[in-house]
Amino acid sequence: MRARALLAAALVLAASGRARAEPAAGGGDGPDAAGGASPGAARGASPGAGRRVSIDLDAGLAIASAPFPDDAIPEVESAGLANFVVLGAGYRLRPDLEIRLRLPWTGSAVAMPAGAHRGTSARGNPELSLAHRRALAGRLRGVALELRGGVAAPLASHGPARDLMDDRSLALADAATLWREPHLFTPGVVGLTAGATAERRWQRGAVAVSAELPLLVRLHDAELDPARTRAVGLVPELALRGSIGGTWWALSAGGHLALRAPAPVRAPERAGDPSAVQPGLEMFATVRAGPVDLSLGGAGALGGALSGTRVITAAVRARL
Amino acid sequence: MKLLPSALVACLGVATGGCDIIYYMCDEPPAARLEAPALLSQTGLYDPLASDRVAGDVRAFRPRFELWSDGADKRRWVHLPPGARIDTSDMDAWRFPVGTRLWKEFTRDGVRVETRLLERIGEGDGDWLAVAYLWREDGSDADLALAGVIDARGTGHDVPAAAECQACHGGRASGALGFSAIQLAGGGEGGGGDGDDELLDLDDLVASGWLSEPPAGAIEVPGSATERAALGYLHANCGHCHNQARPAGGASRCYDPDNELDFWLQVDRLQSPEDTPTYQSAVGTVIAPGDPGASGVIGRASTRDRFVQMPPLGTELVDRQAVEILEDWIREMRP
Repeated sequence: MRARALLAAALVLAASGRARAEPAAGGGDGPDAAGGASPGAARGASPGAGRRVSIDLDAGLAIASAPFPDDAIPEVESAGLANFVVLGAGYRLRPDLEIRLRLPWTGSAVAMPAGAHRGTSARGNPELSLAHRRALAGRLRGVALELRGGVAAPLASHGPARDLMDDRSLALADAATLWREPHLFTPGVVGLTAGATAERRWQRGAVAVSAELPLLVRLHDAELDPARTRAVGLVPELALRGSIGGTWWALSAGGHLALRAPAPVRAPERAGDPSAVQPGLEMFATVRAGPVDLSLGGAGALGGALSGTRVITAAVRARL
Repeated sequence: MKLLPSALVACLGVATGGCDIIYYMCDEPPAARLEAPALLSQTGLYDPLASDRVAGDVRAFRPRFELWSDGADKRRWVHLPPGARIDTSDMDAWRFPVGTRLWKEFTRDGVRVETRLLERIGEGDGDWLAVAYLWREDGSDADLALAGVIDARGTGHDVPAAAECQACHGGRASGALGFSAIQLAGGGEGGGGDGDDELLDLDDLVASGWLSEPPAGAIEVPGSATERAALGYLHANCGHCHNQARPAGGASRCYDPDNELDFWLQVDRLQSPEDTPTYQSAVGTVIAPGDPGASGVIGRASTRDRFVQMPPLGTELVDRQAVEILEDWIREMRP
């Protein structure tokens, strides 16, 4: 039944064209391992060639379960149906340099203790970033390296403290993205992000390795229990993706590992505390039609604190 | 800031699985419905001079047919404002005077877990304050728990969030589901009419002048013992959602099931079992006479798969005794 629900969700999202994407590296003339259809992959946006402006829209729908570390409300779980939307736009300042803006929203059906669901939505932290891409030489000839840096403004909505619905919706979105975008979905923090992607391409395939280092600097407690919030959170992520495809299609798959070291919000001390390490898998199919990429895929947590979380993501990327 | 309306969330949720995945999408209750005392001891349930004794103007009652709460033991009380009357011009939908308060206490596995408060705070439909109080471990008092509690006090009992209360109570204009003519009528098994003088029943209400119009006659659920038990179970556990007199509009309610089932017993439709809305709407649809295995109502009642189970809220354990009663009842029906 859940499979049917997820399939229905995919169809709904695909039909509505709500998705997200980015300019394909190399101008869209082959599979793009870094440019999967997940928000985490969006950080791997490459300036590409040809077009100066890109817009992208990610939409994900997940059955998610996230630890919600706050004792201010006794139910320390946040579970339910999570929708997230990340709207992005990029402008290529130079052939090798792009500036990007991303605006995240979440809308969730948060499970209540007795089994009902409550609809809520929250604004995430908008992010402004720069990406520099260059081709390596020497023994690494054929490898493209992208370096990224950005800042996420602390504009995520939160509160009120009596039920923390916005915070829980953001926690669900954070789970739905498998902790790969904590700077977008953590309230009360400034996110300072740094990342790098190395990508090797062949005629019909590509492999990319990426690392992200989002530093979350807390400015206020966002209605959370102040004793539970940390001044600094760090959630590094490593990812490996591969893809095959042709001029108008691509299939990609990958895995990632995120680590809360430390988490921006401290979990209550109790037996069975969730793991700080979160592995995940993802698979996507992409169809290219002129300047537009359409991607549809799925991702899921492999055990860990987000165990049981599964997400369907759809993406549209357009290069203008 | 709400940038995406909950309606969109609801639409997405329903679109992904229809009623199979999200039964109840609740809105945040209006602020007035959350302005409850911080402590149970401040709600008027207990004597201010003796915190372990119920106040003198509070009466205990017990509905004839109880809502299954995973085996929790429950006690209930009501307070009616002095001199006020319940408008009983519609005997199936009593309208309570402002100031009416009802409490329900839950004890699970020997642990007193919570007490819920339902208070009439205005004249309009849905003008009820509905909150729960979580008992402290030392039993000295209970604290307001607006967000609810999962597995409260080490038991398997979940305290509902305030936003969830109307999911059930909003399904009837009266708001108070277990305090009604049918539930308080005596003469049958269980309930306030079983001879316990301590418990308020329909006769007491009539004698006290608390009803604007007393019932025209005796109120008897028809049929054999099995039929009465089955009809009563469906009335108390399913009828608050599955009835055809749900209040209009979504303000007081989370999500209306889209079907024509009606399990709510009505005072003027008790001439025979076949006269009840349950028989009229469910037999031949979710009830296959003579064949419990082919009856959808059995499949729903005997599972706790959250996408299939009935009732969908407030229970994680199957009521085996009720399922047996329903199976016997269906088995005894003539195909």
